[in-house]
Amino acid sequence: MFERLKKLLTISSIKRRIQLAFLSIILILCFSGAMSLFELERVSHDTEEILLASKQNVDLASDMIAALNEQNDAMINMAVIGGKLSDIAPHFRECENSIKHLTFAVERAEMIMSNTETPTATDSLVMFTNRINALAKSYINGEVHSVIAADTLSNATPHSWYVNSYKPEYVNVSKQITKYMTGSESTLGPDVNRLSHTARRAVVPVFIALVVMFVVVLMFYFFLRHYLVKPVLRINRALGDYLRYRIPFDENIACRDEIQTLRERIANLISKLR
Amino acid sequence: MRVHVVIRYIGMVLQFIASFMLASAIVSMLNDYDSAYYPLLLSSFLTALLGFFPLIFVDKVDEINTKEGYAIVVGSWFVACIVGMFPYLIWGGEFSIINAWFESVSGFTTTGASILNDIEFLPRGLLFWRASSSWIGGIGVVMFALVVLPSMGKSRHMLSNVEMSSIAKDNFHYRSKVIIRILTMVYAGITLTTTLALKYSGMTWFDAVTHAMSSCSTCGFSTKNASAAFWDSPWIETILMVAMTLSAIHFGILYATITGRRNNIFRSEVVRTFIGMMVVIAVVIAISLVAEGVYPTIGEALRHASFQVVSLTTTTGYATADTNTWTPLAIALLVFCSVICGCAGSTSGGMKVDRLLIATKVIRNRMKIQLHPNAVIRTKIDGTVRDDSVQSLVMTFIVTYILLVLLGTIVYALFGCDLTTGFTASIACISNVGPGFGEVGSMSNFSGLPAVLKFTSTVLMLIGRLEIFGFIQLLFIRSWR
Repeated sequence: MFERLKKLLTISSIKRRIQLAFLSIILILCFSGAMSLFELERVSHDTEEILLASKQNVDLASDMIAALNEQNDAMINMAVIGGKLSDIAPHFRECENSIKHLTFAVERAEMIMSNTETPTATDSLVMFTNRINALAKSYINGEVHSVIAADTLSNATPHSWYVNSYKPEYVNVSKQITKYMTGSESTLGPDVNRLSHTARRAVVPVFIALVVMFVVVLMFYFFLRHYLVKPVLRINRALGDYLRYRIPFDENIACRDEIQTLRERIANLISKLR
Repeated sequence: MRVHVVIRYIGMVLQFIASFMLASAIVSMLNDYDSAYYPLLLSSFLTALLGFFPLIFVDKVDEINTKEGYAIVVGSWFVACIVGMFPYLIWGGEFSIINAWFESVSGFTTTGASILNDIEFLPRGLLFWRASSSWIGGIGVVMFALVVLPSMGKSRHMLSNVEMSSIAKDNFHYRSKVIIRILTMVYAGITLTTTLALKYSGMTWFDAVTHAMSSCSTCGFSTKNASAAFWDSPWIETILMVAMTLSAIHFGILYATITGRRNNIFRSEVVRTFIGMMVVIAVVIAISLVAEGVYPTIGEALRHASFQVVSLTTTTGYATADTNTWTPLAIALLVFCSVICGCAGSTSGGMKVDRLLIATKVIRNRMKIQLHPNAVIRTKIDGTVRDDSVQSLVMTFIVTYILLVLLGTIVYALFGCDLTTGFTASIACISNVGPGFGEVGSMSNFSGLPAVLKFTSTVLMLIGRLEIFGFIQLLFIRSWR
């Protein structure tokens, strides 16, 4: 049993040797190819994730700006242009909706950033948004009018309140949204870094596999030359010498395969011919 | 020389290395398929294939000659270092080609120097591979393969002879097969015992295994940026010191001690000198540190001094203190330790205490002969006479070692390193110690050096690991034919 197994594992034919050698080369190619495909797949996946995150951030910033502008328009209509209560009533609803939209967008941004390496990046945005929303709410609730009415000394009007109190907050929130839009790109930094590593990993296996393949091909050439070409040439020369000059055919070959059998058969044939 | 036979044996060694890469991939798998899993798996596959290819064509050969033996041993070390780069390169991170080569050579030669600024960032699979490479290198790439791989036949004797230095063989009075078995038993035994001791002293299983592998191979690779100082535990330091000391003693003498034979560690002149030298140097350094006010108490000074002395003398290179801040006397003594190192027949590198003893006795005898020109004085170590050829070999080794250190220092200086860094880095690399002083001190690493110096360092490491002459043989490759 053991002898049979040993015989089975012993590679003693040229055909099997060359088959195995080619199989090894194909295996290297396939494996490195598969690895590269796997890594490239990962690169593609990571790129997709990064693009998705980037798009999400831009969409959110766009929502915030739209809600802020809607609120600002409503405030201009109510505080600056003014008019009868029936004229400005629709703007109250607009303002309330814009507060909801802005709050929702900022909360989503806060939630997204909480999962990144810079969870505090939206703190200022949240703070300024709360402040502007509070101002808008105080206007809708009539608190601003009460304050203006009570302040008889400074000639305050809704218009002056808009210019002095609301507008600066509007500018602050706009700046924070712009910062969020550009700042969120930098929070993708670690992902981009990871991506560059993954991209490199996709290339290196192929490079190493190529080097290994180069070495294997060199060895293949060396072994073919040593075990196949040289013995055949030696047998050929020895046979030629025998036929031409009757020099005895005693070429000694160190391998144990078909070449050895060929040598033995030629030697047998020569001895029979004698 | 039969090149195909050499390639076949190197192929067998590669298959053995591939199995360790696979083991590291399994460690990676057990750690939630960390980022080192695919790099290790791919490296293992490529290395195994590279090793298997020659076996397809070249049949088993029983007899090999000395030249082939040298070619197999030197070639195996080189190829092992090259394939050892694969996992690092594929993983990426801080590993450029030169950095991966440095880390691989440092591991296999058990130098333990590193280019990594953040070791803790490495995944566990890669850390395990790092420790494995040092463990394989500790006993010798080829020697390890001889143990594991079957059907080496009579070539086993030749390969073990070439892999072991002539001095190391002296304490072995057995056949090659038995010597290899003893080496493995002692090595595995110390590693296993150290693992258990470290585990029960507070390390995790992973840290215990990697540190046991690293300390028994006298490499000094740690899984923490702060090295052994991370645990700040006298118990762990003591266990590591014992493991390092045992690994730096001739394995044959350790085996003789365990089996109750006469030539044990208590009777060995070399071991006595080795231990005595470490004790004296540690005490002197501790006193100098307390005198200069580096440490407030003698106890603390002794704790750090003894750890650093054992670590450098055994060529391990673990650190618990920044030795750059120590007194000039302490630094000079530590450099002396880095030159002399452990005993022959162990996993440590460097000049070896055996050679120091022989050289000292040769010098003493030379002085006696000058006084008594007709006297016949023999050089004895452990009661055995060392003939002229051994004495000549030892002196040649020492001279070559000094020349190489000086040459290394010049190369370091050429590329802008200060003298302390250049001189100590040369010694640290050629003795396979790891840390030097200056820019390459115990709390820093080799990452700041230019690529050409990193490469020079790896050449010195390989020269040191192959006991100088093994490497120099390569320069006379024409004579191999």
